[in-house]
Amino acid sequence: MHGNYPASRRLTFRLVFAYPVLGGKQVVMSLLVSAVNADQPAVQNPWVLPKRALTVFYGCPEMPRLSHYFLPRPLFANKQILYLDGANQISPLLLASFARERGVDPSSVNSLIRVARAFTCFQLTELVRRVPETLKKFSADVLIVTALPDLYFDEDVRDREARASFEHALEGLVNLAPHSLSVAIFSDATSFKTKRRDFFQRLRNQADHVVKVESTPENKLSFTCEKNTPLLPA
Amino acid sequence: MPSRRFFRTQGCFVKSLQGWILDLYPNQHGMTLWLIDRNQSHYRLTDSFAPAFYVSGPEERLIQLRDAAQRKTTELRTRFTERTDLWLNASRQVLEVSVLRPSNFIGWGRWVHRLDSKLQLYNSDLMVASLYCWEKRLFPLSFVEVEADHDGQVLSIACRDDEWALDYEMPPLKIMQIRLSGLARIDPTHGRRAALEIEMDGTCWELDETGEPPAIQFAGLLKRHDPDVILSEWGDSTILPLLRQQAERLRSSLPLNRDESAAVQQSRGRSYTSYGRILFKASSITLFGRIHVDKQNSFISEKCDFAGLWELARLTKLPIQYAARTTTGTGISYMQMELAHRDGVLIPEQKAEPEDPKRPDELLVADRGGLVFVPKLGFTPNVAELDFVSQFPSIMARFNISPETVNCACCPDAPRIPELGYRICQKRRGITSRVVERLIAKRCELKKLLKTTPPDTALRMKLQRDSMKWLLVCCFGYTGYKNARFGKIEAHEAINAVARETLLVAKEIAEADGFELIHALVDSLYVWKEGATREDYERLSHEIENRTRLPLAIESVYRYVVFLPSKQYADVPVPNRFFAVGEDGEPKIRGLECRRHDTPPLLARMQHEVLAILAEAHDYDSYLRKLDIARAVFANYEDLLANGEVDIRELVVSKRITREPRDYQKAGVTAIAAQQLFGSGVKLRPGQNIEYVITNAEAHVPNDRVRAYALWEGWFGYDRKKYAAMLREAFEPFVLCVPKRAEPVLLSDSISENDLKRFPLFSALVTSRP
Ligand SMILES: [Zn+2]
Repeated sequence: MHGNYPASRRLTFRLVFAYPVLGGKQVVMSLLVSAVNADQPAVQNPWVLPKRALTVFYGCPEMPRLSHYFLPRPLFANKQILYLDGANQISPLLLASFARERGVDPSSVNSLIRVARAFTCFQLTELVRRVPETLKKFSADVLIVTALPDLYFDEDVRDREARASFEHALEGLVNLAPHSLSVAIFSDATSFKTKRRDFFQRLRNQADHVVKVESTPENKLSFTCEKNTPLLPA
Repeated sequence: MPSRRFFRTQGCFVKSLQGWILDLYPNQHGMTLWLIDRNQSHYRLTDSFAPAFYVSGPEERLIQLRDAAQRKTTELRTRFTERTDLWLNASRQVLEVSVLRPSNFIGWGRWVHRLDSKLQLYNSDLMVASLYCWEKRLFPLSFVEVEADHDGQVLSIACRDDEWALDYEMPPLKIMQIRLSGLARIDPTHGRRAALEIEMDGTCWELDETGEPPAIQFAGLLKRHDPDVILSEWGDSTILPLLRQQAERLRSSLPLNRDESAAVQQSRGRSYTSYGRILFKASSITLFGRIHVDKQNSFISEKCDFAGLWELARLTKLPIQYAARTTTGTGISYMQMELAHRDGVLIPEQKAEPEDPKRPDELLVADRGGLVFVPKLGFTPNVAELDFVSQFPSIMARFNISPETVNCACCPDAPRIPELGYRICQKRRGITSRVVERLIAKRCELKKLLKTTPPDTALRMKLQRDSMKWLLVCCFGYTGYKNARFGKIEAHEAINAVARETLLVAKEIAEADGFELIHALVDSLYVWKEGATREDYERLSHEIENRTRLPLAIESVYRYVVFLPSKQYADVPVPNRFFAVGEDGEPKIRGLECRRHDTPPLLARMQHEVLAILAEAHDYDSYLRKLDIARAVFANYEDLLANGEVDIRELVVSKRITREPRDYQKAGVTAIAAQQLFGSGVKLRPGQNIEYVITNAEAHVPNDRVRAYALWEGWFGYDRKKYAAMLREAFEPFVLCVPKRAEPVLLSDSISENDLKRFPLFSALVTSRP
């Protein structure tokens, strides 16, 4: 996998943020959150989303669920989040439980987040394209997108159309630059058997940061930063 | 009245014809129409037609497209015009592109995409045949009057029929049936070999490899009898492809099409996912000028016979062969699109209207499904089932819920949907609401007419009604379905919310009137009151109907209902697992083995036989008496199994495979059978069904546990122990509502100590007594 990215390979460094993984995946996740130390400097904490940057997280099938664990930090700092859910995996109950863990009324969290689901790639593209419009009504600081480009692998959609729609979504992301949003994309694209794998490469190229999330043989989660634009020479 | 006249006008012969449109499809110059008249004669006609699609985008890009089209071809005509955007309810400038060679319609849409992927296309991927029907106000199987010239070119065509008519004349079709001998439900691509059976006008031919090759014999029959319709079983996947292959090998012609200029259309099968399930869409063989319907590959003709299929094709205006093979969801979608087209509304290529951003707690409420009150377990006599008639469609029609009417921009002060607070447009009637309204009305009128119609016609009308039921069932799913052109998740959520509210209101009314709610599920209520008569239940039904303003009907006042627990936990009630006996003695069954497609026929037969006996009971005491007779029947089945007297076909299990045979990790029986078929060269795809017989479920060697039925040979034996256990499990529901019989007492006074001592175990018990 790393061999595919010779340019970034030299700059790749492995941040080992290993958290214990026990039993089922859902248990794993709640343990992960309780292990977060909010006082850690940003560069060392995998749960912090880089500011004004496009970050892609990928590598394990649980990515959409994992996205939830990036939310408490901005939410409890009173930041607003727009969550475009192509994976249809958003769990309002999990968000409420985060609030309760912190002794916060879930309704205050609910007012800080807006969710829109997409069931087709065309809808996801449309949601991304409409972000500037949505921001006029709800000024988000963070944008989360799940299942990009996974949703574009749908075999019911003809290749040409999926490709065009995906390109429009990428353009939509480019157009967000003036809005100084933290954009995080959660994808499980690499586990698909598809001829459209190049979509993920296109997304990678466009991202400022790419982080691979893996479950290690020792039952821990590791975060590997594979691309880190600020470190790249101009 | 003669159906054909010739007369001379303006120096050329003009034919005047009356007949039904059997088939229609685009050609290089317009549309090909096949007409059948009352004398069973058929005519091939051509009507000029130039279907149009629309393109929207920035004006300079549209001008570039217009210029590019002019440079590229003479096949396209373009003009700027205005059409309506459904979501904005406002008109928008678009470039209309008319295609003068309709058979290239789809190709030109793709050309525009390639030219400029930023442009939005509308109407560009619709079926040309449907577009033609919309424009000319015709439909498949409509009765028409045509004037045509000597070459069959249509000079005028007028519909003398109405797709909303309740009773209509059908063409006298010549139907040829083809099938394979033997068990029809076994997929012949899994290796079943059988003779080809052909039936027409009561005469039957059997073609096999012993005489002249079947392809040549079949070609002869086709030429001689020239059927309008070929009704097959497994024609799509097996019979017609094999016949074509054989004809090709022999370099002999096989005139499947009537239209010699068209090539038979053969599509490949594929696996796909729908609502989280892996399904398989079989390959298909579509003919030109003649209709091919495969009963094994047509949901609607399997459920509703030809009468249902004809009705569906007429209403949806989808060509018959397409209507036979597609989902009823596509049918309802085309009905919506026809209305949109008439209103000048643009029909988008893809469903791109996404969800409106919501708060997480709002999402949680909106995402709720139908309401369920779990059933009261066990035997309850005199229970009425009250059903909201076509509840979801009725809600859409009654409350004007349609994707474009939910949270419209024009009615900020409109009344709100309970729980969700969504608004519904008060200015515009929704497209979905209009479609379902007409369907509901037609079903109601047919129901009334049924009561006064002779049995033959009544059966046909019942099948027509059933096919419309399937359209209506899909309506609701289609409001949220990912591929619906005019879908919007909020419409789906609004319908669900109204349905929940309605059920709650109904429950309150029933309980206020002293009825007990035994069970309620989405759109039906099971209620009971000591000594209630049918009139009492009718009064309740009227009261609920009046309050909710939605039609409610008494499905039945059951002699009794037995609600069953989950299979895993004996004390956990589950909806949709019960049996009941109606006033007329007809059993109603849900969730039992005999309702499932994968159940071995023996188990299903036993359950039906037992239910027929239990259906004679009127109350609990008589149920117990009937159960004794049923137990004897069950014991007889057990004996048959134990003695090895059961025909192997009665033990065939049918299961859908969810992955490629090689991808199965565990050696479950379905996986083993799939791998056996794969090993013998059968190509299997996820979503396909396979059939097998359990040979020895506990065998150490996985391959011995089960045998694919297609590979069955007489010397395999069936697993008596396993099938006996399955049979017992299938009988269990009938005794669950009866307290267990007392266990025999071992150490009763009637057994002497001496008797006991004769048995080592009992003597041990005796000696250990203090
Ligand atoms: Zn309105």
